Amino acid sequence: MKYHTKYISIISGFFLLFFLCGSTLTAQDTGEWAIPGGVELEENPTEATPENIETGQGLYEQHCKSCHGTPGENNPIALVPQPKDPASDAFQNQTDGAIFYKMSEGRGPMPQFKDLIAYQDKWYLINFLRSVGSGDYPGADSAATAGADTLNVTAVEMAVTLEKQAPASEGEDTAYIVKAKVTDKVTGLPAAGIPVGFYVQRTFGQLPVGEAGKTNSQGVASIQFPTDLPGDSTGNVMLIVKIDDESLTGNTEYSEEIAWGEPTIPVNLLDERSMWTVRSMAPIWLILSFLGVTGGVWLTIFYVISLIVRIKKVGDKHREQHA
Amino acid sequence: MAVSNLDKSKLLSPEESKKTFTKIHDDLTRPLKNHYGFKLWVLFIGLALMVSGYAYFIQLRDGLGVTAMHDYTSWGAYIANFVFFVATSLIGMLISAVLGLVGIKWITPVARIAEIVAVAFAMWAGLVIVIDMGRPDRLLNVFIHGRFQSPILWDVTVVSTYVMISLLLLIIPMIPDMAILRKSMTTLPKWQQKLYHFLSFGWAGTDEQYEIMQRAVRTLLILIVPVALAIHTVTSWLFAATLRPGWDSTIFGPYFVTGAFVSGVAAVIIAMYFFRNNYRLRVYLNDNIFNNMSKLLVLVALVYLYFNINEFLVPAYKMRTMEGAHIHELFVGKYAVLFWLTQLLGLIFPIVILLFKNARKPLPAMVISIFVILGAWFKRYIIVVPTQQHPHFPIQNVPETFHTYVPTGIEITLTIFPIVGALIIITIFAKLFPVISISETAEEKGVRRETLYE
Repeated sequence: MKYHTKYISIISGFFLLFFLCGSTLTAQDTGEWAIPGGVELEENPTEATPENIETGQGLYEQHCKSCHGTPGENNPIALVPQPKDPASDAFQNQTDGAIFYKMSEGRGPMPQFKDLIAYQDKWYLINFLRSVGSGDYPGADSAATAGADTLNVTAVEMAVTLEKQAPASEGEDTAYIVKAKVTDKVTGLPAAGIPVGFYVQRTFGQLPVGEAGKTNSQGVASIQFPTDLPGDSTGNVMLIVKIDDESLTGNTEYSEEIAWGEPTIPVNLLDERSMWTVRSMAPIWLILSFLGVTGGVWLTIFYVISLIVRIKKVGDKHREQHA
Repeated sequence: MAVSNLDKSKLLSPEESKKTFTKIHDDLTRPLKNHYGFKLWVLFIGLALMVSGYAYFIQLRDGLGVTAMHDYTSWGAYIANFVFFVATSLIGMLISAVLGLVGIKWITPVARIAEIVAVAFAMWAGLVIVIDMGRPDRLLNVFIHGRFQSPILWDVTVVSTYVMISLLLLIIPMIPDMAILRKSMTTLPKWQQKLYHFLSFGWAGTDEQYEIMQRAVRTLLILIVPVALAIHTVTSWLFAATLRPGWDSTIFGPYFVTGAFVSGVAAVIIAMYFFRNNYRLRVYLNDNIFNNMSKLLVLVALVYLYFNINEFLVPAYKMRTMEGAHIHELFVGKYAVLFWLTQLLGLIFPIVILLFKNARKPLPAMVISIFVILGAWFKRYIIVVPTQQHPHFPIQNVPETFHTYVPTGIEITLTIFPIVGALIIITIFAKLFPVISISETAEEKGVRRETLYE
């Protein structure tokens, strides 16, 4: 009896510990999701046109629906914290900027879509999310006039510069910076708030690199170029800088081959001896095994055939002697 | 076989020797002249040839589309048949080499029958593959462009090597018999006498010739063991080298080899029963040999059962997703009836029944062997077909027929035909040559060597 009490108290102690740990973790995850100041006020630069909403819907079905469920039906999957139905008031009460931030950064079971969904696409997605709500959300009025500044700009001039920044202190690496300066073609002034995307051409599409964003008041958007991208044999990669706004005219796209990638020499798996190539490229050990075993067996067979010939010769000789 | 040391003290006197030899010679050569029902048998074979020839003509003309094979089940009854033929042909190795090399005496009357069965089935194994080819005219490409990395090249090589060794193991021990027939069978057609003359290779029965012959036979007996193991192991690797449920197994090699012995022993018991009755060889293929062969069948069946338990019970215990679906299909699903009939009627019941002495008499042993060999065939079918209906990707957006596989009439005809084909080869051999060795039987009875070639 005594022992039992002891064990029970130990076991219940463990359980208690688990519950405590569990509730602490849960508390961390479900707590207020802090949004850095300023980000919350960011406005949707795209317009809620039917096309943009449709694009957003496609993205929602691809990336979001599996957890957040069908908007309006309140059927998200059971996770902690619970994913919110986009049509719910709790969801719609957030600003565009807050949704954009949460989408980009993620937290706990909510994945980071920073690099998975392009800058422009995230805003299309928000257009869709707003289309499923009541239409009453923070900043709804200003959204109608959002981008008014940029809407004034109809034609732009974009200049891309590449900079290598020497390390600020010992031990740091050189920073590779790509800068895009956008000016209004009509007025010649810097164009602010223009969404600029930075990409690198890969075999099956364009890979977004760096933090895509909008031009600042000087009309400049910049990224730090990653140093670990595989390039061609000399380390060349094709950089593409694009203004992600189809309504603008002018030179909205820029591309240049830059030597900021890692030199990569592609290995053709068919160049080496292997099991999957043609006969002449079969592994040596395999050819030797085949020829060795087959040759050995057939040599023995020929030896046996030679014995038959000997039987014949011995017989003929025997008959000659007795004839 | 020829590897037997004669006990000089048991030799008969010259007169007795001559009498015994004449009796044995007449008994064993009688079927070469004529035997009951031969013409009827030839008529049956002729009909079978015509029907299958027409079926094959249709398949050649219209392509493999006339079979039920399709994108998913691309190996059907033909490949099951191929595995069955390779399996049955291994009996030559078991009887001649394994039992012969350890010096078991009672195999003398069975050895040549086993070797004939082996040659017939090994030859047809190669032809069965040709039947499964959509463009048999491109067969030579396997040899011209065969890759060392491809199991097909190894398969073709090992099958033809095994045919060659089995053929040599059939004709070399037959040399003394050919010398005897060359002299005695003067009433037979000229070409047949010439054949005996050629195959006797100048045999005069000298000690030196006996010595060379024994060396040749012993070399072959040792050589055939690894080659026979290779032929069926390579066959099993055609399946086991994939990742598919039901095939992805590490014991497929020995599993196939032990299974091969089961169908081979059963085939030889059936052949023995036929020769015993139609060739009137009751004295030679006596109850004792059926008793021994039945015991051998129990032994190999028990070993095979052991491998079956390993092959099915271990995955059935784990029920890993894909394996589990496959096992479920076999145990209680679509293939359950076939699976359990095969295991019970073809393996477990025969083992139990053959433990009783009366069941090891010729007729019951033959009937049980028929069940065993049918079970062996359907077992190959169960190994080959169901796995392909569990592809790694779910079957979707394909015609409804792709979900199942039921052989068509043409397929069934061309599956049965090779079995008739093997019987044709056996018939030809058994019609031209004595199915039991005259010289060895005589020498075991104490007949003097000089009497044989007088």
